[in-house]
Amino acid sequence: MRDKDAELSVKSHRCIAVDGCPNECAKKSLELSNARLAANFRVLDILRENRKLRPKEVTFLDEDGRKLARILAEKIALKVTELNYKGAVS
Amino acid sequence: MSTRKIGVVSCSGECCVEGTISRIATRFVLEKLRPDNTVTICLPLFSIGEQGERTFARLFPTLAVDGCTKKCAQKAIEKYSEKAVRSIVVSDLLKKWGVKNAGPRRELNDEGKEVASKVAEEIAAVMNEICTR
Repeated sequence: MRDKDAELSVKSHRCIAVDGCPNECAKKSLELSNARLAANFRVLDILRENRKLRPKEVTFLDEDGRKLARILAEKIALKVTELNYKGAVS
Repeated sequence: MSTRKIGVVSCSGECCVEGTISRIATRFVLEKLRPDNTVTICLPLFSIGEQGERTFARLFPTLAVDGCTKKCAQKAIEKYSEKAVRSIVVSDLLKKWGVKNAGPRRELNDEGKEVASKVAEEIAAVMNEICTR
């Protein structure tokens, strides 16, 4: 919504997009804002990689949903570490 | 109540607990209070230019549920479709109700869930008004 503070923030920091569905709104929003997109994750990929986990609840996550959220959070955290390392050596 | 379709665009904000309350309240309306009338519209999808969502909001009454006074949902409706029929601002309601601790953003506590239910009732009341016009 062209929020100046948000736009400044995404232009001045490296950003990671996390998208819940194939429409990839987070990634597209960042691209439209000329943000510094450093990485993107798709929840659908996490679901494919963890087929035994089948979350069913939407409003409040069930146990499988929480497990998937944890797996995704760890991937994002790893990416942040990697980006910080690259930033430190480049 | 009629089965007239009404769009609800909820804040998807991560910056405050009111964003979480907006989203949960909208889900309560969709699942429990007005399942036959509610069409939820994804704010990020709406904002990046999804024509189906924008056309719906042009043709059907659509209300905004905003977490804070930035009112992104209301602005999006007005920018890309028509004037929102109503804007509900959760932070204003929390102030009015004297809610101090609705829990962390990631997961609402019991008070937060109760507040989300009350917000859902406010949304449903607005939908009733729209349907009886």
